[in-house]
Amino acid sequence: MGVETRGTGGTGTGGSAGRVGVRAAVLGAVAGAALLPAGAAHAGIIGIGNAVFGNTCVNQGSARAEGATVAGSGLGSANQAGLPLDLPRNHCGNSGIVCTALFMSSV
Amino acid sequence: MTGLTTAGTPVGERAVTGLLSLSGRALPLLRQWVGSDPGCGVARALLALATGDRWDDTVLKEQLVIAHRDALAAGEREASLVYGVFLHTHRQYRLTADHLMGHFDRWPADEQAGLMLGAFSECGDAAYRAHGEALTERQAALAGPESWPWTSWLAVTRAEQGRAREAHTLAGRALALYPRSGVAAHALAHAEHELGAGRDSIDFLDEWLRADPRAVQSRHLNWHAALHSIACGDFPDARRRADTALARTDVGMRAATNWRLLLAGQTPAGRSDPDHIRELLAAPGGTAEIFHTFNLALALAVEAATDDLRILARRAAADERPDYRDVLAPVVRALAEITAGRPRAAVELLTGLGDKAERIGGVRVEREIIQDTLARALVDAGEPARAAGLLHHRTTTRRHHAYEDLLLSPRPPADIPV
Repeated sequence: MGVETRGTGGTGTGGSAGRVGVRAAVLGAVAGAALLPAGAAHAGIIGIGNAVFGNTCVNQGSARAEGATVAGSGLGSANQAGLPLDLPRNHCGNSGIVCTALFMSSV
Repeated sequence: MTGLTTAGTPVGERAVTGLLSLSGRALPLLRQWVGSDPGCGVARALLALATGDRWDDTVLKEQLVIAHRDALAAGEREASLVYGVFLHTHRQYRLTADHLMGHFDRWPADEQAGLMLGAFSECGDAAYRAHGEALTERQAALAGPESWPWTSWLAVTRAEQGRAREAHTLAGRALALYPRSGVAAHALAHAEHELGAGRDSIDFLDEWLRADPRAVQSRHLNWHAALHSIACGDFPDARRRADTALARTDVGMRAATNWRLLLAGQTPAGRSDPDHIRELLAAPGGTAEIFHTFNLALALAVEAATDDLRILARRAAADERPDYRDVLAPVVRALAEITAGRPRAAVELLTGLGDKAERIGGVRVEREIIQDTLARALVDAGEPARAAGLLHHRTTTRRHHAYEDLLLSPRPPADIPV
């Protein structure tokens, strides 16, 4: 099915204070910056429902082909038959709101 | 029955206007519309479009089956619109775009269908993006210059095409027609970023948000204001916005702010929890979309999480998707090299990328951070002249470019007075 199922290899490295300190020192040396402690601020959500307006996703793998088959009849299906209920909902990214999600669409 | 407001305007009309303008009243009005007219398929579908991301699959399908049934009774346009909403809410953006092309052929300049135009860019396919731009141009022409929604969407298109002055004019026209057009306000923020408007743009965004603090884009427009603050050297303001306006979930916007601050030698705002970033990457769909994955990589870079970046880069390099292999992987590797204190290696990776960087997704303003990173790496690698050449178009065309000046500074000051 056209959804991401693999786990990431990005887990498993420690997040200890000492380790973070080393990383901060390295980056600070490179970028010339003084770094604040991680997680120093988590701002509140402004507005209700806003979090749902920003997700953006992509078709992946077999979902693209499957979707094309299921809904290939396009407008005719829309007006004369039912919805393509077998169509899967793709997974989306989760880094928060991005411009493309807000730009031309409203969601 | 359609409910009426005290002013006599049907609630459905107000709900659609609220959605088109990204008003903070959009969701309450949509709910009110569905409540007062439960047999209106379009109302139910637009509510699904706006809030379906938080519904589970079963609820979403149930609601849209009801909406489609009711829309079929209302007419072909309504049924087609609901069908498009079904595809869009299932994040089948390519199919949504295909459907919209047929829909607009039959119902030109349909504003409600315009709410889904983002599908063309969210496909992650340059050809579809171009189709979407051409379609927007055609529909805007058909709608005429008095249509604020289409003028707003055309402004967006021009901004993304790099036609900043046209985008600026169009956004201004849309806002003159309807001052609460959130799409136009957003397009204006993009155009003014390219023009280096600085404080003027910040003041506009603050005033615009004051009138509707719950506007759909409030966090995002605050982020744009933070970028303007960075551009004109007001780093405390950028940090304040990141710390007070962004939500915990806004990992990408926070990272994009903080990485810029770090590149310019400034103190970052409060950061994301590294474990939270790792959880997001590990979650189902965590790397499903290239631009979100890139944003999470930036968040790792802010944490100087070199090991995590190397692992993510290897994973991207092994991905079957060419954009991940050819574009994301070298960018993430470059971020890892920078955090490891190896700017020369980052220069080689990012220079080799060239125009392929566009394939990392997002929009111009968001992708620009790759160029910023290369400029910083060039300076740190002892090649300030190449860095200056890279940013020449920005330092010569943007009125405010304190940020670029700092990127090109061999030894960035720890802070600069505002």
